[in-house]
Amino acid sequence: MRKCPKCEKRLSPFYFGTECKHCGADILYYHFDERLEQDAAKAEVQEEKVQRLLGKLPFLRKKYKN
Amino acid sequence: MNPEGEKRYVGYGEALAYGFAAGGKAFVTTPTQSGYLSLFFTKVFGLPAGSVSFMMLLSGLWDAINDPLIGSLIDKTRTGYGKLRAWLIITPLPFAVLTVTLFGGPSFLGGVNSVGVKIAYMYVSYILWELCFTFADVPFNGMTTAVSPLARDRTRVISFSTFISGIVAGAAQTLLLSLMDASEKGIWNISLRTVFLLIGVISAVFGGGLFSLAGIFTKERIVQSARQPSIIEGFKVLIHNKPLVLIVLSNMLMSAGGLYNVFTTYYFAEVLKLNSLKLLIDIPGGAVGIGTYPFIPAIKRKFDNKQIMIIHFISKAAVGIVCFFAGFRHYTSKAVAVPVLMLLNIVISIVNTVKNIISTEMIGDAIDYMELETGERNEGVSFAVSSFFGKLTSSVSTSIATAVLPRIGLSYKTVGGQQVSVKGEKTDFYIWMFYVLIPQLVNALGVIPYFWYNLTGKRLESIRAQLALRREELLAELESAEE
Repeated sequence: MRKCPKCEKRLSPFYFGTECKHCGADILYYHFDERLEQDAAKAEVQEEKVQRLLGKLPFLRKKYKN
Repeated sequence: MNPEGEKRYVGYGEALAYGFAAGGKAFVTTPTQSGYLSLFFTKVFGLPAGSVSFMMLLSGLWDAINDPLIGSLIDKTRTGYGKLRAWLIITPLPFAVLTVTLFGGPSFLGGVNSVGVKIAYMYVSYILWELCFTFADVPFNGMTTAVSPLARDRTRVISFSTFISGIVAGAAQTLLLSLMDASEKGIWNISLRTVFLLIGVISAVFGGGLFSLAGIFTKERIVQSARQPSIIEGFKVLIHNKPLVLIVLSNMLMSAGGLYNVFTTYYFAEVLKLNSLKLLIDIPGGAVGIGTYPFIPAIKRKFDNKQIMIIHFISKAAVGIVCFFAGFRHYTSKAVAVPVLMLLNIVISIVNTVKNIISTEMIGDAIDYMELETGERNEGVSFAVSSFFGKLTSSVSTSIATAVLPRIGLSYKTVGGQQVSVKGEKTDFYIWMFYVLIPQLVNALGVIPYFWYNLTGKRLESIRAQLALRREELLAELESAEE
């Protein structure tokens, strides 16, 4: 579900405006750095899961051990 | 200093979504590749080769006008999703509908005898489809750079999309060729018209559905300027983007290999008389191509992007020459043609796998270069222009190839309700030559512009480091304006 990054009110997936119609925040760039860091944290979690999975495959165990 | 470190912003989930979206796009576009499209309009729709040839040419010129304009429109877009993602949300549905409309033509107009009406339908359905495709394709390609400022994220996204789209395109081709053979050999009692209508519906639902994943799951992570560039500014920036001009020039020269696509189809359809034999020939190349992906990081460590592109052109020309002469006297013999063409396909598959990733990265590097020079990013116009020149030349070469068919003695006549080919004495030899040799030699001309390309090594690293600082400043400006 799509939400405003500032007031967290629901936004329609077909709303294409650049500013939240409730609080006026810039939907794309509000706290951009922090949201990038959240993406980096999510990506790291996914990276670890995949590496654990690949580490179970016999021919890749050596490369992905640890 | 490496501004990227080990960090990633794009996880496996998002990269896979983009990859499967690329697969969906490949599924839809496989039947519209120049070879199949030419066969569809001439053999299935029953239209004169001259009309089809002229339409392909006109469509290429139409692309010349609308592609850069659409690219500019996309660059001017500012939404809460970014400038590219909004288009990826809007386009899948019309794209699907127009695909059914395009391939359903022979079925929908089954009772119509007027060639003029069919030609008009061909023009309208194909040009509308092509227009919608541009609105979908340009932002889709632009996302490879906008998805992250980090090169390793972009490489992963491009690799996943190339890998998955290759497999899905192979599946689409398998389906199409198998159905065509099943129809023509009487294995399944359906006409070629119905085959293509079926392909259109499957492409729309399956391919269109996968393509919509890009709009749903990808995000833009590059800060765009609040100012929207005008159309004229977009073009001015392009002209001054020397690396991009060189890439575009190379794509133009390379795309004359559109001859390859047309004559591949006619070689299997009319010389070996077994469409699905192409699938057998593609198997080793497909497997080797997949096997190439794990080696790409090692290849990129050893060679820079420019060197990789040069090796790609030389390899294809060399293997084209070897294979042409290897099959010189036996091109109608499956026993000789199959292994020779497998070799051609293996080499092309290896070099194309690497080249497809590298060439998209290079456009991203050119966009970054221009952002440093001017402060503006032009994903829309850059990808539109780089692909449009390729499409234009491909349309021209498809048009030429289709027009050449009667000159080499190939035509069709209706016998008992079926389209039957009529060939001259040397038709088979000419088809072999235009399939194996000519496209690879013409393609090799694409190497010339790369001798002046210089976004490599330390220069590229310096550009990325400066951009990282510039974007932090831009973001700080946007945030302070909001407060």
